[in-house]
Amino acid sequence: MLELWKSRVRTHQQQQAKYLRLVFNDHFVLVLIILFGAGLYAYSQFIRQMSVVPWWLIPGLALILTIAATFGRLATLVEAADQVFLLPQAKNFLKYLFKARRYSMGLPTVVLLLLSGASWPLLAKLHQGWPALLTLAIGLLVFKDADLWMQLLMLYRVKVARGFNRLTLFAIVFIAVLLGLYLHPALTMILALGLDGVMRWRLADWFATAPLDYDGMIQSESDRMGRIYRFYNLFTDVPGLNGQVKRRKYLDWLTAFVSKKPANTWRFIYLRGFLRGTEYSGLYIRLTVIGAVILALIQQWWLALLLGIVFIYLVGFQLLPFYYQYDEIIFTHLFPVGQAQKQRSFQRLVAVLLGLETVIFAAAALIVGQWLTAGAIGLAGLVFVAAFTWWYLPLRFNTLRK
Amino acid sequence: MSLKVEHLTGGYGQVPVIKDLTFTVPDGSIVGLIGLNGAGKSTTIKHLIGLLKPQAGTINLNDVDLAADTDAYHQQMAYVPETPVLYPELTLREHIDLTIMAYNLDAKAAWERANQMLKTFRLDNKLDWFPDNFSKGMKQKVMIVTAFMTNAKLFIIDEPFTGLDPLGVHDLIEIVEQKRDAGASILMSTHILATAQQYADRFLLLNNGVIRADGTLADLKAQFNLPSADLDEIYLTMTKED
Repeated sequence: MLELWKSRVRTHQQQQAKYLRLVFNDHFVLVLIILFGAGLYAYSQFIRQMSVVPWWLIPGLALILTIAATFGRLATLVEAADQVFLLPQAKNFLKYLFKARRYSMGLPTVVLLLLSGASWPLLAKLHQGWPALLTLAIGLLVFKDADLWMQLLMLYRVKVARGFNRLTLFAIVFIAVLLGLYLHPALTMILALGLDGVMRWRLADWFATAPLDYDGMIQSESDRMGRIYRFYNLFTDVPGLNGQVKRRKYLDWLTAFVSKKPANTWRFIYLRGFLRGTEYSGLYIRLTVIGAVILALIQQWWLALLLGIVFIYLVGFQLLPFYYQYDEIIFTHLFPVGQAQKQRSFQRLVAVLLGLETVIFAAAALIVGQWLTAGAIGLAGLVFVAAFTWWYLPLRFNTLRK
Repeated sequence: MSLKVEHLTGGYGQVPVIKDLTFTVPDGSIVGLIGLNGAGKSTTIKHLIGLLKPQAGTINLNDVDLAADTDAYHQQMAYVPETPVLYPELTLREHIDLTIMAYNLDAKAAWERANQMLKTFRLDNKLDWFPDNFSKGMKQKVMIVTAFMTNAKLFIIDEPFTGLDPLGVHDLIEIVEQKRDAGASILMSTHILATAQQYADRFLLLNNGVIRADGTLADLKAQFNLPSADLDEIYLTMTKED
């Protein structure tokens, strides 16, 4: 069982490493650094401008820390076939799952420590010293430990108590952190240690008789991996993972803009593919809305301009794989229409989408009265879109074809 | 005229899967392409539709060379693949519209032909559905409709009968025969020998990447020296040869 766990972790990590290399390609790292810098700058500005502690600071911080503690699911790395082949090993599976639980603790630990560190200036504003920081971090980690025990228990058909679920747990975490921030974070740590201690003390009894719920375990693991792959799929092509298709009849009026003639064959496909597929349209809408909100909140016109261009670039860059969406369908190679039309149609789609995004960004800035930002984004954005579509895209598709 | 293949050698990598194939598919005839799994049927078809580049040899359809003018060649042919492939985001109606656009067909006449076939296949009430969610047999029918509504001179059909219900098989054969009588050439690969023997005019027996025999059933009987045999027996004899 322990050998099995080791080999699973090895293949899992190799897989993740492969995808992470693709996610953090050089373009994206550059964008991340810019966003990170902008975030830090905004955060420091926010702290400097805060002369009196606003009433929402403590509840807000407690909420953020609680939500951060919910990150990190139990990674069991089980596969569908385990249900059949490892059925006789059900009793031994617990050893495997203990390993899995310890492994799952790793990433949340890093995240929670970083976040606790980031809340240091805010704690200072609340007149708390380093003991507060330390006890708060320990409290959060111990709560996470309890959460993972709970997730592990839920893989078994065991009745512990009414209301024993993650929602209740995180309600307790929220209250504990809130109390800790108002009084002293040592209180959070004491509450966490108490809860975790009671759970660990009772564990042996709970596991003694409980049968393993294979179905539920496999289902939740495949959901978890599905979420991770959907995230990767934003950056690269994950085999075997295609977005769903929805009919969206209410959007059919948009398709009328492309008349049905041979020269429009590819536009016909791309337009419908974009409107009805959830993958690329979802990405476009998400990033456009987030971008518009961020731009509306930023005061400095040059920062807004920079971020606006970054967002347009992000959307454009992530639309690129859509170009190859239909290469698997043999007919796109058999149609008596040339490949040149395919590229022209795709450029047109990208130009329209990014142009629309630019207009939305400019409008968002106008609504909050930032006419300088609106003008800058409108002008520079359209220039950028033109360069991206008619200079960068052909360059990229041609180098890839060689 | 018709499809002429000369000295075609090709495959996926450096090692050829099919070797020096020379054959024709004449106008107004149905040719059955027959061979074991792995004999090279699908590879041959992939070359004929231009998905693979030949290592040697030429493919010529009504004086249009595949390598020289791919678009003009494709304009004259239609293809039904072994496993149906459809656009997940397009409805049945839009698949037909797309075919009309891609092949530059006259919309009215093409829709008339399509509607007739859709009615035969009992798909005429599903025009606004996504065919990607249909059953295997129904998807196959969609592929058949979009292929046979074109004015192609050559139809290449890969394993058309698997997944079709008996009525669908019957209807498909009727459509194919109509096209043949109108002068089109049809190349059909299949394992269902009884059906092939009944409807194909000529046969192309492929074994280990080479053509073992070529001709009408009478020709095959003469070549194998089996005057009273049917296609099934000839086929078994061929497979035992090596």
